[in-house]
Amino acid sequence: MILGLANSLFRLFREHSDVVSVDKLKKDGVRSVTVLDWSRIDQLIAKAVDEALKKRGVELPADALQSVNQQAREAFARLLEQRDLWRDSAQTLEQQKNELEANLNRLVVELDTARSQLTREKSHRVTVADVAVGRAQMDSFALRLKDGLVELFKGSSADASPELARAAAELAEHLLADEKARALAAAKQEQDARIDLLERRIAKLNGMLASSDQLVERLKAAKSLDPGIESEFREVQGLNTADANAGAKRGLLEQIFKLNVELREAIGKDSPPAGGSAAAPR
Amino acid sequence: MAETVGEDGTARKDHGVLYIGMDLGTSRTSIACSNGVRETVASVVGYPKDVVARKLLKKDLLVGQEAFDNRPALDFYRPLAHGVIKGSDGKGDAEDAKRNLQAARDLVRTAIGLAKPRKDELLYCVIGAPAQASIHNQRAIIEAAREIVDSVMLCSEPFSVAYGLDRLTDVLVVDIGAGTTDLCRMRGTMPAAEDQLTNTFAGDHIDQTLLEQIKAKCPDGQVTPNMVRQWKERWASVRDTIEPIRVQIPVRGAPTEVDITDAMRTACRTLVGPIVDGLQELISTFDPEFQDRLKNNVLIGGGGSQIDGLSDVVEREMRRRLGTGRVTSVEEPIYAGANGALKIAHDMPAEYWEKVR
Repeated sequence: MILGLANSLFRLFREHSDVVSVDKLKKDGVRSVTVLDWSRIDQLIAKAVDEALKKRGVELPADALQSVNQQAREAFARLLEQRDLWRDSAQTLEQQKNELEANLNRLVVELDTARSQLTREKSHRVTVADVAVGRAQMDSFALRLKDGLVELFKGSSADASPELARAAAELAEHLLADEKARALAAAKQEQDARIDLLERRIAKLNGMLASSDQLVERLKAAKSLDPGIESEFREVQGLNTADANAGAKRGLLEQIFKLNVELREAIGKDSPPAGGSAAAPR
Repeated sequence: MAETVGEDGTARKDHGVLYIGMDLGTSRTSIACSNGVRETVASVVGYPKDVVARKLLKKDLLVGQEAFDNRPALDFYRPLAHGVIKGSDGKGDAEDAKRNLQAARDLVRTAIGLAKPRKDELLYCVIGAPAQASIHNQRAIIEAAREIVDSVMLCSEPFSVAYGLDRLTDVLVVDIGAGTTDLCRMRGTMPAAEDQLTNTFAGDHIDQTLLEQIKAKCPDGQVTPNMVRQWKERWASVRDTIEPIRVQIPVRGAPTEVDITDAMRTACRTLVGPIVDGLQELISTFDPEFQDRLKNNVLIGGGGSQIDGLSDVVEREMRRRLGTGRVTSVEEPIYAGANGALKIAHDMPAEYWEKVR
């Protein structure tokens, strides 16, 4: 069991340690590093348990102490894993947030394009110039004209030609007007369909934008839920009375405190500093 | 593990206490915290120049390396100079001073955020601020921090280094930053004004000297302060014998190899004289019976203490001028100030924290 835990601790340290190059350490001014092997960590956990028990005046039999030590080691391993899980999930959240923000930007661009298309469509009045007449429509129109003319000339004599010509022109004009009206109605219908499509697209994009916005906000909030790293201390510490220099240090700390009190009084009398607002300098 | 919520809907701070120690420096800002977090960022702040930059960067505020990397798209600020917030002396442009003050606030806020505090923990922070910071400076720092922490105190930077290392008596602390070198005499009490000296022979001075030296050697070379700073951070040394330092410098567009070994040594050594001058002054005005103790207890910290061989050369110069001297460099120059501030925060009694809330 102990060996298994040791291996597990060793694996955790190896897998979850941050790798820092020697160059980086040198650049940061580190000249030597303290190396802790796992057995030393194991000893430290045991020592911490021992000291905590002593501090609380608890004396345990050897087997119970061993069991507490074992539990402390396991708790330590769990904490290591938890910390790493937090780091991983924070990274994932950050990545998701970045992707969403990029998506949000795309949506905004798309929405802008759709809105300007809609404005253009709505302000444009469909005219004959917009009507594109296709081959089939032309054929149909020619056929109807031909049928009309055949009907008109049926049983006609040659001297009736001036009336016939006028009647033919009227027929052609009527048929053409009819055709124009049909084509315009079709074009208007197409424009209405485009407007309807754009309006639905804009509504959908607005919906997507709002939900993406909410997601980004939720991710930001989730990120702020990062609990942080726990301090070593549960309560205010103060000077260790066993410290060899406790007397001198107490005096120095008192002086630091007094200087800070005086500083606050001086600040109170002093006028507010320039740049007092929290806004970034512009 | 779940946080508890008070009647007003805010998280109740009943889970524990997070102590934060911060070293607010001209070049770097470092934090050390009681949850094990230790972070350092370059003391630079940037704000997107326009809507396009904001959209591209997806941020309104960039701090540290990220700001450095994107500086063409940013209104870029290095809010601290010579150990204080730029323009706080009221001499320069008022608008510029206002912007630097705001950038310093954002830097402090960001640095505290790096501590990853829990919402249900009390946050107590000690900030090692420049000893010569004005009321305006200190006010800006305190106000920025108070937006996030429950209680904050300031203390002088060299003092926090000494406290962190438990070197409270008969020790001389030399804190070499980017803007200033602060010397502080510790004698078991809070250092008074006469126990502290500041000069501007620090990291920025080395950069400037190195830049001039390189320009003199290679007049057509294109060299920026940022390039010089990077070379210094990599190869700074005051030793008599050092490995040749050869860098590539663009000359009319063509990369040209230039040997900057002597230039580097010369630039770095410009700090030695003023440091020993300061040490001499602080030692000579100390109780003569205890002067030797001071001479043999010189501690060099801050980013500048990473200069290779500096403690040896300062020690040699002290022996030459003062008869004796023993100089050591702090183990973690980047975090020594923050570690000390953290220790002060930890040791500070609860009632003091309550009173300055």
